[in-house]
Amino acid sequence: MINDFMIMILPVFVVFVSLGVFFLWVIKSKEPYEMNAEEGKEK
Amino acid sequence: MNDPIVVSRLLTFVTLGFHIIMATIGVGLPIYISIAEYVGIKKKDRNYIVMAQRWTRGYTILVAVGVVTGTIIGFQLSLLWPTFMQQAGHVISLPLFMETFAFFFEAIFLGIYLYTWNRFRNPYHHWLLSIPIVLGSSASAFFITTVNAFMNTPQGFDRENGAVANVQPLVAMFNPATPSKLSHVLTTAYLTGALILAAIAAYHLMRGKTAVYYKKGLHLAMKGALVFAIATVVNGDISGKFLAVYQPEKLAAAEWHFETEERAKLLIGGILDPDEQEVKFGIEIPFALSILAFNRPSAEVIGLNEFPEELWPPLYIHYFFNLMVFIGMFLAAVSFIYFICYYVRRLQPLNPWLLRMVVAGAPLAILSIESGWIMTEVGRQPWIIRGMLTVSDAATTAEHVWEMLLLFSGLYMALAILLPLILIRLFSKKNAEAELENQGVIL
Repeated sequence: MINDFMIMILPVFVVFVSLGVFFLWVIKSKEPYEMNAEEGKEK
Repeated sequence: MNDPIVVSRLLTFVTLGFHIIMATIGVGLPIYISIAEYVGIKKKDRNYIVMAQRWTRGYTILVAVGVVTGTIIGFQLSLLWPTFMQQAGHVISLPLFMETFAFFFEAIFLGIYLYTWNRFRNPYHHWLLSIPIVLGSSASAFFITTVNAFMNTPQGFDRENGAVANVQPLVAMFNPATPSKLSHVLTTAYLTGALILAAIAAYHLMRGKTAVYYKKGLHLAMKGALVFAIATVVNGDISGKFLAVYQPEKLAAAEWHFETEERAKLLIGGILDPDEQEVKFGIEIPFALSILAFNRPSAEVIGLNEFPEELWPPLYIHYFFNLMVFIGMFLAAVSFIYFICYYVRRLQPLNPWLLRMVVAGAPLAILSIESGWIMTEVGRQPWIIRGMLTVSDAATTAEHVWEMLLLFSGLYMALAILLPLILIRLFSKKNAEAELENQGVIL
């Protein structure tokens, strides 16, 4: 039963969850290397 | 060497071994292009816009080469494996056709995306064009992976007097191997894409470039590397469980597990004496194979001796399995160490040793993809469609395949030399700093 769930359902979740986590992490986190973070910003 | 079966296998190996690099990068890169443009628009940061533009240019060249090798594979399927296409073609024509459709969908929007930078008043409208590219490339991977999954766990048809009848294409596509294989293919492609982009940024930082463009590029790619490395580890575990139930002979061959037993141990490395079925110099982890297969230390894992020896996959796949897992673990560790160094203030995430490991991550990721592919394809031997058609029965009997092997090997070697040269020339002629300055960024 656990194996059926892991084989048939869980893999699909892994893809969507990892994509979601990556997207949110990039969008929500503070800009890296703040020392020169202003460089490149549009005025 | 004139055996058409051997030469057909060699030619398919060379073609797919080359194509898989383009295909993996082609699936992996679009999500980074899309997200870089989105972040650039959202944060009004031209660094990310230049990143997306440069990555798109490199991606377009790789897609162009991928078209060449992909087309060759299409022809080789029919010409080298006629019996396979004759029998399975009825069943898997839908995903094969849909793969082509998904690719065209991706290619059309890539063309529009490439030539419409700065043409929209609202920049988000241009970003929206990247979504079909992401969907098309991943859908392309989905459809072609269902074909490979079908070869491992065929279903969706009946056999009547040796012929295929009552075909149900959707049942064939959504076979038990599809979820685990698709998930593994997608997350490893995203991981490889991340590591290639991270390696390019790390290489420039190692060579003394100081522009924040490279640091931001590295950071963005390393986030992808960590997330998708963890996803790949989870998927690897799921794949082990799939094999234990649906292809126990492949798991047993990969682990040199001969006797069916409970509390089965996982074997790392070693040298096999096939006659005595004994392993020397291997590292054994107690209960680990039972846990990998069924999540229980006491679970029984089927051994190779349950199968006739003529149906055993070649036992050398153990080394490819080990190599794939080791590289996967190394890549996960490198991305994890990077973020420890980044978040622990006293540590330096841009230190030369860590940058060197990030640079090494790109070729290692590709090596891991190749190892995993060899493990899964050779692990299906002697079958081309498991339990239904053997490789030797599926191959062409035509002569002159040998000459084709020489011809195509020459083509791939030429592409393997030309492609990096073209990419290096393209990017060194117009470096990132020049592009940033052109866009009004003060460095």
